[in-house]
Amino acid sequence: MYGLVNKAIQDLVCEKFGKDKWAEIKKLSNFEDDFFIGLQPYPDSLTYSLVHNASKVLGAESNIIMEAFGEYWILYTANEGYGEMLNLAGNSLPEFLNNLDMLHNRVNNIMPELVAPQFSTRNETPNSIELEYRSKREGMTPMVIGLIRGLGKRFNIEKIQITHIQEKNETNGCHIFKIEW
Amino acid sequence: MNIINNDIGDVFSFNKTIPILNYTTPYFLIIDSSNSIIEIGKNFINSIDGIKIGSSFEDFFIWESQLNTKETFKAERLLFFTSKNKKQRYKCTVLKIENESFIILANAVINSQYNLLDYKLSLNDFPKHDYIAEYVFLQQASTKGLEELKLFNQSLNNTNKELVLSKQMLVNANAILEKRVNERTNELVQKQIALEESLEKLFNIQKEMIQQEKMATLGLLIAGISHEINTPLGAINASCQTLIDTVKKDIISELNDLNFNDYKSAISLLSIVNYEKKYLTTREERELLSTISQQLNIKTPYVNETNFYSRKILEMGFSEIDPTLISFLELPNRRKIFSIASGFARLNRVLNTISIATSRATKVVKTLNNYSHGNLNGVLTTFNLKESFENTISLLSNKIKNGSNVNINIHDTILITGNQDELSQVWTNIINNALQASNNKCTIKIDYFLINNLYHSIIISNNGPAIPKDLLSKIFEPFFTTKQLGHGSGMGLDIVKKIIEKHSGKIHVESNEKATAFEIQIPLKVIKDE
Repeated sequence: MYGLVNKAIQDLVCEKFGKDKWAEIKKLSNFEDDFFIGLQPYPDSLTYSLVHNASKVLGAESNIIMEAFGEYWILYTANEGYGEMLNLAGNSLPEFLNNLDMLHNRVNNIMPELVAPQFSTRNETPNSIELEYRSKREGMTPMVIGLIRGLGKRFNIEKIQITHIQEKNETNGCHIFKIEW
Repeated sequence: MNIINNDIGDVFSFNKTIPILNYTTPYFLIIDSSNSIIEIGKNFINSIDGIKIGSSFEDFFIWESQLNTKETFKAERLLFFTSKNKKQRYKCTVLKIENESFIILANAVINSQYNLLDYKLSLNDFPKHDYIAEYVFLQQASTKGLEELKLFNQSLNNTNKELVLSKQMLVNANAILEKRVNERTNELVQKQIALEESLEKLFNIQKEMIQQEKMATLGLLIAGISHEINTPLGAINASCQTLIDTVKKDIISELNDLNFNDYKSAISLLSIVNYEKKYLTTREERELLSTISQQLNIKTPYVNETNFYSRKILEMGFSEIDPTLISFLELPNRRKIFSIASGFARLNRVLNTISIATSRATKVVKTLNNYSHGNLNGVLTTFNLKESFENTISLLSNKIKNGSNVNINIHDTILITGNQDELSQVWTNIINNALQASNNKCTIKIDYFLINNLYHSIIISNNGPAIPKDLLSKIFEPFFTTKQLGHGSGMGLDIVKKIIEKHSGKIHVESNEKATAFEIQIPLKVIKDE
């Protein structure tokens, strides 16, 4: 994954739990640099290790960490100066979810080693939508839930309900989330 | 509208072109030959306040070339213009169309997403296929990357400063460590020195303890020996007196066999005998015998057997023919009278020697007792130094006459204060050692000097075998001897040293192939120990 993701994990931990905890996580993950370079690809194993060790150090399950990180990611990218890019994807939750692939494609132009997940929507109603999520990586569904919550906040949706209605298997090839507001 | 441009070449409908232009190039303007705007792209309408069809291009924009519109169009190249409020900048190409009109195909020059605010636009106002979104993203990422690099650089600088600081601290720590190591080394050296001193002290104490143990044993031994020696010495003394009495009776008995005149003459001769015969070397004895013999030949030519009488006269203690002797030599029974007188003189002298020797032996035993007690005991007297040496030589005469010579270079008037018996023992020990080492064949010299009117310096030297250098420092140690078992106790020079020290004096020895010399220094004023 690109350094931008790891930077976001670092910022989340430092902001919510302090620099000492981050130093502990970094040490356990055998990462010795002071900084992540946003546009530099890092091994996926490092990101997994950071999440795993954050779970150990902060005493929370990895799922909770991943979900918190997903939610924080939306806020983080906007604050880091990529708000206009997010704006490109739409002005509402359904529109944004519809344009997620377009957004990733644009980012892929800049970050050629990006291995982005794929999203598509179905069964859209005024108050609900179903999101199909396909990824080559395992165990990222809590982050997707967090991302949807973050988007809900971005579009000022007060109450949002996310239900994981389909687990990925060899036949269906994707997870499906039902989002209601 | 027909576009007159050889590169495009197509002619298409004006009405259909406008929506396409708005979708593909939302920044466009069409102006006629009088520079009036006849069509406006949607992004200009949204971002430039007041712009409308019929306005003049120059009312809202300025060409960066500083030329007017017509002149600029001639250039046929990439052109730049800015809004009059200078907030927006555009790049464009210009196509000439029919009726002397031009179409300006422009795009906003955007450096970052924040520029979009100046243009009152968002990325959504650009065509989806436009690369502006990626450009803005890249620009943002690049800006962020630079910030990261700055932070990284700052972090490196900080690390570098920390390293410099650490290095300095390391240098300081090293200096402190070095100082501590030096201090510790010095402490260790001091401790080592102290330890060595303690060890030496312990060694000395051990030596002293061994010495004390030896002395205690020696004390016991001496006490035993004193008793065992004093008893026979007493017997010898008593026997000696008895012997003298007996001999006297025998002589008187022999004298009784003489007629009255001879008896009187013998008694007269006995009265002038010199019983204290001086010690003579063999050579001196030979010379004196020759002198006496010559004098006999001259003064008493009637006396035969001059050699016999010469020896008898010498044994009687005369070194020349005394006039009183001549009358005795004229007696008819002179041979018997001279034999009795010389025999009596010799016997008396031997008995006297026995008496002196036993007396000295008694004193030696007493000295040994004193030695084991370590004080300067006995009577301090002032005595003649030369005579003291002569007495010693006399006692050792039996050894000396076997091939040694003794030269006493001491003035007759030199007096010394001390324990005479003990100092005699010193002379005896040193001279006896020289005789033993040279197998009784050496020349012994005794010299005297007065040092600063404070010290007597007595140097007893001999030309016998040298003392090996490695043994020089040991010869004054008790029980040290180079003699065979049973021939020396190893106590002689230790006793000498102790006697000299008791006299507040010093003894020093030097030895080489030519000579061995003992220098004894004794203060003129000796203070007796309490």
